Amino acid sequence: MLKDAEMIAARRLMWAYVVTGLAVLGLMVLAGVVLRATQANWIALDPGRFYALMTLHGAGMIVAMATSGMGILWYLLRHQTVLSERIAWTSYALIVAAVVAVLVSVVAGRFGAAWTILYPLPFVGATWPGWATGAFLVGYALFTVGWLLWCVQMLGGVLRLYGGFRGALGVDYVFRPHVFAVQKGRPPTPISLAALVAGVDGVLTGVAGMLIGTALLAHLLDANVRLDPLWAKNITYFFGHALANLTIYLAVAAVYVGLPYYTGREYKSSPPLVVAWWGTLLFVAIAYFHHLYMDFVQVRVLQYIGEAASYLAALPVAVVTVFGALTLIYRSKMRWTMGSLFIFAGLIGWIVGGIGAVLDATVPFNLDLHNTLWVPAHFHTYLLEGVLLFVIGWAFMMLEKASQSVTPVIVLWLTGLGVFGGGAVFLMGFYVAGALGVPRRYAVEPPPGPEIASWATIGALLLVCGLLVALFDAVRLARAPRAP
Amino acid sequence: MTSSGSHRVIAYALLLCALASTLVPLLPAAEELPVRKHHLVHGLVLALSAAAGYLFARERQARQPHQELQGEGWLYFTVLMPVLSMFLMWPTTYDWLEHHPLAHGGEHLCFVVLGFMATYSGERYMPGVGVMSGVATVLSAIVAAFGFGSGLSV
Repeated sequence: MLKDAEMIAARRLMWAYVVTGLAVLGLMVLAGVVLRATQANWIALDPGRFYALMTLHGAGMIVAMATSGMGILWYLLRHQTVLSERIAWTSYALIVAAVVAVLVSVVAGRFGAAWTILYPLPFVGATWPGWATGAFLVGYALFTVGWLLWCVQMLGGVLRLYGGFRGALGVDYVFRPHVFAVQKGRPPTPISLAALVAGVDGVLTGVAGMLIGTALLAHLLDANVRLDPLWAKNITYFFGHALANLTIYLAVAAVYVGLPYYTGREYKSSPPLVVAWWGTLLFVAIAYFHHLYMDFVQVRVLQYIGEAASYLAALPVAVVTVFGALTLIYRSKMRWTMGSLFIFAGLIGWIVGGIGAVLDATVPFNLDLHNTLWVPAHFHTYLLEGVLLFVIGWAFMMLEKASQSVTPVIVLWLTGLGVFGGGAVFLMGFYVAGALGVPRRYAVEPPPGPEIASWATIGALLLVCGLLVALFDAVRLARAPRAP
Repeated sequence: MTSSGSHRVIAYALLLCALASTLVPLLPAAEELPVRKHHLVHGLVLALSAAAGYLFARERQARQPHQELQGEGWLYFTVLMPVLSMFLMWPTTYDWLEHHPLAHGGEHLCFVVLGFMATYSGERYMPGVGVMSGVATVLSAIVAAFGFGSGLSV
């Protein structure tokens, strides 16, 4: 149990992460609307600026989602064990510095090699100065060090709580349940499992990120440093895919806490839940191979591993977490407020986006869908209509708890129509265009890209309106008198 | 010999092996290595010193089991050691180092310190963390062998 002062400090830190993440995310949403409007030929943006904005949008979104989720998970684990606020603030400062470096690179230097900085793209035919590439890489390095600090701290916290990996993984809880019960062992909680996965996979991801970042920086400073493009792509996607995936698992902590709050039921640990998280621990790290199906020189067995891991990664999500959430909700007389609505809708977005991802990870489909707008379709679904909604749902839950006030029904409807209705129209634009083979990452799209982008932009604007309504309501709740 | 004592002996032996690698470049028979092998040798040096660091930390923990293990400073070391080791793997410096044995030995000494501290500081921060840090440090050197410094020139 935290003392009052500790609780206040932890809450301040959590809000700093969450609000910073949401603020960056809000800006990136606006950047995204501009990108889509450009593809719809509504506004004229020269290609150089388009690709710079696209780079900023991609990098900013991932960092924003990760930052928000880091704040939530840190706060929840802080309730279970001792964590250093100073380290968490250091990590936060490094991430903010990283955002500034990336902004300088993209806005002033017009760096436009996409957030994946896939070698040799940043160095061949670049329309931006070398220092812009350097600033971007420095930004990545700052983020990665901040991320590593956070991950190691979370890992240390979980290991302290359970006395080592065996306890944290719940090995005895799964394989020796009777002995475990007699010894009155403490099963891993959903929060500690999420923190463990973030800690272990996060360290591996961070080190991979530093490795490719160092290699690219070395090449920038000394062109004689050669890199193997296939090697660079493997490391880049191991880092990028796992980081994007982990943002979901950070934010899913909000589901484990939010749904019990609204349903009045406990989200219990169970051996299937623990085993599911073991699966997540493994599959987050090895599913990235599906990004390299088109690379004929990639070792073939890795392609099979990629496809199998992509399918298997869906099981823990769909069968355990989401099914568990639904059983929690079923006949629970759940209170439908802004917070619960966002968290529940986020589960839908996670599943729909996950299905889109698994389809794309299936080799015969990938032959047609690879590098089409299907790719942003699926990740926008589980990030924009999944992770973001978990984070917003969490923020509303905290505000509702503090104010003991709820949102009027009309505001719920307006938000729902904007965020979910507008969001659905926006996402359908990606899915339909992707299925029709419209390529992604192009400032100018072939038909029917611009036409589809037009109604997708309308959907995006509706989505922005819904988010603004939610923002106004959040401000109202924040200003409401505190609950006793 | 007690378990703790044997751990200490193994730890010293591993550390000595790692330190011996700093002398190898000084030998007249030292041969020039291609970049890939060079990375792998660094991986080996890191692995030896990381294992020594792990055993020293565990042995210390066995002697003082009730001591408060956590410390913020250790965490910063844990994170920075693998990061610094990557900057030492700058492939185009290898040629120059091959022709400057003292500097080369010094570079190996840096790897010994970084590998040792990666696990030692991690274990001091919290048992288990050093293992992750050590594995990540060694893996980064091994992975680097397959593309950092070899491949297309653009």
